[in-house]
Amino acid sequence: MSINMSHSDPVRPRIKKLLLRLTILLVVFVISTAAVVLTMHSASLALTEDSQEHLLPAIHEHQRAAINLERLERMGDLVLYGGNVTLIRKNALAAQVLAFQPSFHFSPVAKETVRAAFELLREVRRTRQILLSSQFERLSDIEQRNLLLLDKSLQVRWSEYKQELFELQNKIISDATSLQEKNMQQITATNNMILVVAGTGMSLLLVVIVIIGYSLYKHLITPVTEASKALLALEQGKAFSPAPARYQELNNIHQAVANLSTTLNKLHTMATRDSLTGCANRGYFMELAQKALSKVHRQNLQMAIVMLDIDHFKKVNDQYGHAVGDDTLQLTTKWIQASLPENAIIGRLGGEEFALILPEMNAQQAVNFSESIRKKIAENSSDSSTVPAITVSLGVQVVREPTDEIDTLLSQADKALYEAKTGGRNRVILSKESNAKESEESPQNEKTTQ
Amino acid sequence: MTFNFSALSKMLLLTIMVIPALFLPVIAASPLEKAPIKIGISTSFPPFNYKDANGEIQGYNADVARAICEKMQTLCEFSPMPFPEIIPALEQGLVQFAPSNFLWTPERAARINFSEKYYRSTTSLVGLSKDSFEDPMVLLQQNEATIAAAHSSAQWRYLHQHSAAQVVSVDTIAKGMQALEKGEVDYILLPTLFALNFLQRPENTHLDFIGEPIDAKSLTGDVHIGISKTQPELKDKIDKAIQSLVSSGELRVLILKYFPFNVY
Repeated sequence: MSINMSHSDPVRPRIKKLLLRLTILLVVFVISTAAVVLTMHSASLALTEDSQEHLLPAIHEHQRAAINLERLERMGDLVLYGGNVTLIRKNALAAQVLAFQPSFHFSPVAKETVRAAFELLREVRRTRQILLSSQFERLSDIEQRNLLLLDKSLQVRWSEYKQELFELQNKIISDATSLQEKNMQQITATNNMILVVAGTGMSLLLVVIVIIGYSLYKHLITPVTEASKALLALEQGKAFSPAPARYQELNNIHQAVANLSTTLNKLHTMATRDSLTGCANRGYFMELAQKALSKVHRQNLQMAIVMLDIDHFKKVNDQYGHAVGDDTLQLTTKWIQASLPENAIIGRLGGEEFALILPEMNAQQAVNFSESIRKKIAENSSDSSTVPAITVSLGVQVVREPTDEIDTLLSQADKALYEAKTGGRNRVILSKESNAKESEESPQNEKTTQ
Repeated sequence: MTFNFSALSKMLLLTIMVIPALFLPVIAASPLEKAPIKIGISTSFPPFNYKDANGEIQGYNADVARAICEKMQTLCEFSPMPFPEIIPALEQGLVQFAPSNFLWTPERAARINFSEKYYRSTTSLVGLSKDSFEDPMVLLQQNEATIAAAHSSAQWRYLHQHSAAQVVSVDTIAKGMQALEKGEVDYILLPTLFALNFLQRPENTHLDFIGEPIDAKSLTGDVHIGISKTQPELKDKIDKAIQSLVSSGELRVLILKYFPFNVY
């Protein structure tokens, strides 16, 4: 059945294909995650490089400007409060040059602020040069007073200007700090992104691994387990058919197991059953009988053994032919089986000779049962249109001692059967040994029935 | 197994011993046996480049050149020459580089390579102190004014292109200053930082900046080292050396040796 199915089945994919698919999934995932992380890493590197090339010089530019402002202030102070003309001139010139130095050009505010120093300090220089020179003495009182007033007002303007410089300096320093912070934040943000992406990648990798594990479990491990269960069931003689597997190789295993199971069943039947009647053959009957006897001994139960033979069966064959003989055997088996209790066993020991194992029956019960069979066969066969009327002889033996062996019991039952035969056939005979036991237990002694 | 191992270790040992020997001649040869790099430099004007009492070339430009050579780990030697000869010398490969206060102009860029900036400057008009409150842009447009400028300098070129005044070419700034003092010219147009040191000296109080520095793109901003185009790889080396001097603070030390504030 399953063999035929396999031929009509569509072509199943091979395991190689499953493994290839899972490998591609894993590789594509790992490569894409790595690509994303590497891209972000290179972005981070580019950011660092950019900060090295542009941001760092910009920060340095701010720092230099802040220090130069400090110098401008100091030079201005010396112009305002310096004690001799040479010192004043020297610092005024330097301050004037610094006021136009291109290093302030990065910030329009700084550029404007420092340029204001030029005019102011030029004015201060001129005023103070006159104040400190002999020229001052030649001036009139009013001119002297005006010049001193001018000097005072210039000092006030310088103080105000210094406040501006101070604020500018603070602004430049805070600008530099915020540049640095911005840069740091950018780099930190990028690094955090890398961490998040890498973390997500790792989590997704776990998911991918679970998917791969599930696929392998579903398509490899489950079918193998199924096959294993089927083999185990086979060994124990139970029925178990594994579900069809998705992949070619495992499906082959399942089909092989199914085929093996069918073959084994057939072989078992062939080895244990009589091909004509379907009941246990001699070998198998002996095996079953031995098992039943062991159980009886173990649990101290009752059991009867009956030998049955069809009377004058040779005549049936000779008179009606072998086909009718075979039919007779089959029907006889059927009639006996229909009356047998559930746990009883019937075996065909050879020719027209059968044996029965009747558990949980004492001698009386076994004799009664045998009698009912004898009657049933006689009635059924005489009613039948296909077989001639037949009679059977039966020899009954029961288990008496825990040491009783199956061969002995069978031969004793056989002896009783022989007695039935010699005593005129179509009767049930309880063996002498059973009879003796029976007479010990009950006064009633029914030896034969007819 | 043992034999293989010992043979392997012998080979390894041999390799380790041979590798340094391979490099040895290279290490020995590199700085010493090469011809020294020649540096074009003028000796005209402190604090940028001048000869001291012993005849040694000193100044900011000379110190920067020495520091760059040290960073490049090469031997260098100065080839003193007047400023107008420096660009032709670079073009002919007679000198390899020249720290000569070059402002970038397209004409120069066609002839020489420029390093990154090594300081920044402006240009000022210098004249007699009595004129210090005049507007230089007005003076530059006076036909009767005579203005000195170093031949082939950016200032000289600017005057030819943008000034109505009579331009007097001088070989060196020092000669221009002498002409100014003698009254041969009314003004001189020159890099502000050149003028500053000169004007700060007590003997020059009769001279002064005329107004603010000239507001012209070609006269202000980054100042570069000129590099010969015959050695294109030298630009990268010099740029790296300058970057290193900036980030290590060495350049700042050199600047403050010669200038009252950071001119970078």
